[in-house]
Amino acid sequence: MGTIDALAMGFSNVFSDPIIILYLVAGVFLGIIFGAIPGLTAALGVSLALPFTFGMTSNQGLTLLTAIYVGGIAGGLVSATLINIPGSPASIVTCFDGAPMARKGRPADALTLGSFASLVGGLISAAILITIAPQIAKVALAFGSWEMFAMGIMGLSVVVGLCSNDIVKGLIAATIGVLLAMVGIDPVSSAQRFTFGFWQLGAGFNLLATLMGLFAFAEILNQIKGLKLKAEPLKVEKLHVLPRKELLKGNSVTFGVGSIIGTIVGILPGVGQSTASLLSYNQVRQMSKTPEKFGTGHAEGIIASESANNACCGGALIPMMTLGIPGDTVTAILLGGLIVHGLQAGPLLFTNSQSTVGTIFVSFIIANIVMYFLLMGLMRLYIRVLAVPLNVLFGVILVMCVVGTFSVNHRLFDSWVLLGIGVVAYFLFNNNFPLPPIVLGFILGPIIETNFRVAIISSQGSLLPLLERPVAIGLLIFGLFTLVWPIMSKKRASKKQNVSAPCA
Amino acid sequence: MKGLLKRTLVFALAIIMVLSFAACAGPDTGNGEEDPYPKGTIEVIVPFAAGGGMDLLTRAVQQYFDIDGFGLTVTNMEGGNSSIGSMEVFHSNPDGYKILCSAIETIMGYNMGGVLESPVEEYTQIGTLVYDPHVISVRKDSQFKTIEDVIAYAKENPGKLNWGGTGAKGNNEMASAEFWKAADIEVNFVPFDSGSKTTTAGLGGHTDVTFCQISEIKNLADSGEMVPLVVFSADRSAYFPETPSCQELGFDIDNGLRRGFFAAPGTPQYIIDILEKEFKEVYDNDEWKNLVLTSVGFEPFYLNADQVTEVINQRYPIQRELLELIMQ
Repeated sequence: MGTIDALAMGFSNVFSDPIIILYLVAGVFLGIIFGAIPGLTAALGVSLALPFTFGMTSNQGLTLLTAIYVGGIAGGLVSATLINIPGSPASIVTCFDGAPMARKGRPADALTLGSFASLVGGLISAAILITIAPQIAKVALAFGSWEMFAMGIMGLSVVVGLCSNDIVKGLIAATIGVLLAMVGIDPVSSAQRFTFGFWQLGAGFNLLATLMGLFAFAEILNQIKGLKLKAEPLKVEKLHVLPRKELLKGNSVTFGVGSIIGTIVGILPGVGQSTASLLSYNQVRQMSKTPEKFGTGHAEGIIASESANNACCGGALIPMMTLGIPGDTVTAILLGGLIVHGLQAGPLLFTNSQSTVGTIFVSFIIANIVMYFLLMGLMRLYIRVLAVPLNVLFGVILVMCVVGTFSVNHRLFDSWVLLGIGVVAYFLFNNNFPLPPIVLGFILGPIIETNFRVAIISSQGSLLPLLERPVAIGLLIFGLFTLVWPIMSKKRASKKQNVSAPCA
Repeated sequence: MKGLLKRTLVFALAIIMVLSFAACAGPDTGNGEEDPYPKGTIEVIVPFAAGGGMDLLTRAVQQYFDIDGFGLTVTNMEGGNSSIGSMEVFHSNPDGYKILCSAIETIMGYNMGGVLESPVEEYTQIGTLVYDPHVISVRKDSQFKTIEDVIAYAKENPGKLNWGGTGAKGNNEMASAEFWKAADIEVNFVPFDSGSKTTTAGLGGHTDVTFCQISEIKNLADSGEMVPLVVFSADRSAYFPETPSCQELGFDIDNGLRRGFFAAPGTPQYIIDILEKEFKEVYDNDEWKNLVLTSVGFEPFYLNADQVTEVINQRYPIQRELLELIMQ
């Protein structure tokens, strides 16, 4: 009852004010640009727009912020697919299959599929948000430190799945990532770790700077080696409004799995889109009939990543709206946008400000639809990026990365981190160390470490309480299975012929 | 088509450049003479992400701050438990063009953490504008109904009560220790790395009591999800008129985050005077007070520069003792 009223109010709020429609389209467009340019992120777009919303009505402001958020998370798939550099941290996993598919001469297929998966993910998470938000918010509360720890371990076991042809180097890379994440003030004891007297390192390595160093700068250094100044003639397949049927056939489960994992991860505070798409990718790979095709430009891989990262947005809105607790950095800024207009986030929002709730619901749905059509409509334009000579393109991307990392925290130090990590990553890559596990370690290491330590403190040093946590145990067993399965199946397969999963 | 793409890129680049560098455009003062101040906008470093309490406070001040037509710009510089942004101001030119939004207690925390050396001189105080007292709360279906229940349980089971707070060896733990000492109890302090994780753990029943500031649980308390048991201010809080204060329990505790503004060490007195006067004017504006009280969730609370110094001198030995207590 209440939800239907809220939705009706939302529709009338959004469609009765032409300025809101304008903000919605402009916001998604801006978001896609921020998302697609490596170094600029959805979070940056939303935080730059926040002060402008103070002067707007609350409905206008929230619509604009939501639109930038949705566009920004989806936009990352463009550069991930076309140039194998994720436009934002959310799209790292899209590189694994999106870029290979584009390189095989099917960039339009990869982009259409990614955009479509984003749309489906967004809409499914919107449906969950609208129908059962208060109930599902309890998932966030049921997840204690043990469960978060187990989830981190499960995520880390993806390393083996990603790099089954050289597990040792994959594990070394993951360890490097965990060590990089340890730099800075330890949150559990407040001790300074690995800062070597640099106060600038107190907060550790900036996430964006590290990711862009690993994926953008190192990738550029790598591609420079074989740089051809003249761009190759571009052959683009025929464009379709919807992905071709062959790509969708038999993959409806994949859409569902990706969207649900994305939504659930979104609900958990401080986890984020990149983890969501990683977990979804891993899960889909486990369930797939053709796991060996992952990493070679496989449709399922793109769907898993892009449906999860956009579903994560809807998921992150759930605790923000129902409890007043943000699921990620962008929803933390949205929360500020609510507070400034005198709106109280939390359980009372649904009773006191139904109209606002409806506006957020409706603008989230419409933003996802607008996002799809903008991505499709602009495809002809941005697919031409492939025709830009690489020497020009790389220069521009590098500048954007440096400027982007600077603007996150207004510190030049972070830009140096980008360059330093990029050079190290280049040498690692050329010695056959895979880079994705480094990112996994960097993102999941702190989740595993702090939650394990907090859990141990809560239980006064005992490991036994873990046994009373069925969810945590289940996740750990699943993680173990992920670790052992590829090794087992590889042994079996090697008896027949040599098959190995590629290491992205 | 290609031209359009190029133009779009150039345009985006230009926008970013302008947005990024506009914030850094403070003029530098060459000589030590009394230059007219201010000659440009003043940058406030908020050591937390956009949308948080400190950020909203600064932006509320920004709306009313105006010295001869010059206003404030806000720069968010998060990380390292606010130390990154704070150090940025600490290491900046003492020319009054880059100031910090922080809390007296946070500044004292750096001092004790060995980051800074002396308790009063490390920053130049300008004044505080709001007070956000600490509060002890439990979730609605907790076995504890009053603070007396909590104390009784902790006395019967020393070290068993899981007491969730944000940050290790920081303000939350020190202020908690002040309470443990007064009530003569022993608990198990569980540090989380952010305020939202502390409240989530409390709501989910992963910790027994939640220790945070009033602004952090105001929404959840209004809806009945969390029940505040005792506030750390001298009098009852305007937000929770039903909840007793520490003084009523017979504990001499008045602790929380007194938030305000600080300048780099060695900032000339005449600049501080100008800033102090303007912040007081903002504070006296009823529209501002109303905005902060109703939207942002802080109680207006003014201290001038000298009073801030006084609070530091009075509180510092106490905080030091508390730190030793929790280090044991």
